[in-house]
Amino acid sequence: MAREADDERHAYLGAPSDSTGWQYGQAGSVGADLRIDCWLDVRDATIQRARFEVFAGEQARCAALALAQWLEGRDLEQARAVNGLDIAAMADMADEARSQALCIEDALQAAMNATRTDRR
Amino acid sequence: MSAQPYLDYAATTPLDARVAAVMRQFLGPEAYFANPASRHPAGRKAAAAVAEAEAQMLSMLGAPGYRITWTSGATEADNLAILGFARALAKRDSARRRILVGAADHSAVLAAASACREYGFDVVSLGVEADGRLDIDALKAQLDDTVALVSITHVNNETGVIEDIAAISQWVHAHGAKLHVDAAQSAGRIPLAANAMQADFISLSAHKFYGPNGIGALCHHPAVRLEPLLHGGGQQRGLRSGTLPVALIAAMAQAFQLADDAPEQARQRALQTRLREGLGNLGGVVLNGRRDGSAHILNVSFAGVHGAALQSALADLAVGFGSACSSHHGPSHVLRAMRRPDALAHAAVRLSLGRFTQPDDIDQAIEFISRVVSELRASSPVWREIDQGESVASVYAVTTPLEFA
Repeated sequence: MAREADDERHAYLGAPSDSTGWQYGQAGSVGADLRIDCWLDVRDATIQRARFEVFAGEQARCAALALAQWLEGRDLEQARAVNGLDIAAMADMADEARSQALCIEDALQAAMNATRTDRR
Repeated sequence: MSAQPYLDYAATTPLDARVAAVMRQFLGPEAYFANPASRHPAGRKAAAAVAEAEAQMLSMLGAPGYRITWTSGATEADNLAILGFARALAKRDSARRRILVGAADHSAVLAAASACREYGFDVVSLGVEADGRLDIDALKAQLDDTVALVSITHVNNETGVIEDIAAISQWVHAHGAKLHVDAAQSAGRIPLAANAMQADFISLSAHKFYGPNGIGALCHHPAVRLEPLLHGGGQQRGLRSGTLPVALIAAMAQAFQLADDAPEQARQRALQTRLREGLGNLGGVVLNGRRDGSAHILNVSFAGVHGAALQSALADLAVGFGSACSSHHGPSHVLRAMRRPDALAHAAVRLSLGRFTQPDDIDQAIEFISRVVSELRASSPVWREIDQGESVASVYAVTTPLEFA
């Protein structure tokens, strides 16, 4: 069961091994001790795959993982409607961790507004 | 899965079996359990045991002519030295009204010094260098004939940095000030000689060197006046009222007699090196302290790893962290004094070893921490940037020198 959880995390957390064609956005900063990066593989206005990089606590990691799983197969309109409260609810985040949910939202919005990346 | 090793000796140490054996002599109805203030034979026996313990401590400290005032621990000893001395000076309306402390000192020292403001004292916080050592130039610049007391931590409880007390004491005394040494982390581990250090006050805590909890001591020169913090039966020449815990006192003296000798210090140094190099193989492991610090403390920050995530993942490991569990306490004031950015301070881990630490403990800790850090870094945007060539200093906007494990 632990191994399945690890596999799940690896599937949705961390930068894509080949980011060619992905859209990328980030929010937060090291100085704020909170940073979320979002990677989206979008084709025909539909999110094929989503990944997050997380520099935050465990609750943010869980929320990012839950959101990445939810985003797969969603169209951009559905994804744009997601806000921080929704993200917090997905992972049952404690009140004091909700600023992290807002940062995840910001990273997602930044990625959706970005253009597809060239090969990195 | 085997239990995780205990690597939090700087927080507290297990009671040495030899010390426990001494304690048992003073426990139970057939033992020396009487109140040492009582004048009957049983009381006198207990008093003799306390006197013997004091003599042992003073002999080990190389402090002939000094006194021991037993306290509940180093926190109380720090308070008695700093606040007790300040209150005594205030009573005499001394012109010396400044107290100098290190910005990286233990919170007991800082809080005690802060409490002196109520008696009209100014408290100056002396900065530290990026490696945690006291800024000596800052100390020298502040020393003048208005300074009453300088408090220095011999071995820093978070970083293990060792201060050159002998040199510092010369400057302090040259200006007529008194010197308090917080020896909570040095006693029992590195040589501690009051006469060599020329300290006026030395604070000690038994549970830091394999003695019991709840007992500490202030070693002080009788010529320096102190006002008591506790009032009551007038024990200990009125300096610290309260029935003396004979068993704890005898245990503390015994524990101090069993101080780490040179071979044990070398053994711990080798273990620390093994730990530092093992973790250093991860890359991006910032050393918070100095390589020539105390052998028992290693403080490192894992670049690219978020502190809260790290603490969660290492929750089962007996180590100390760079911030309190409660987020509102913020990063360590010691690491902040060393000008570590909060994100780097937050990701700091203090590993402290001791007499019962074995190489397997070190290897197990290295394996576990390496696995956790690698996992967290795999999904960290900060580590990705470092891995792609950005320097740790650049990513964290650090302007002071960084040393890596």
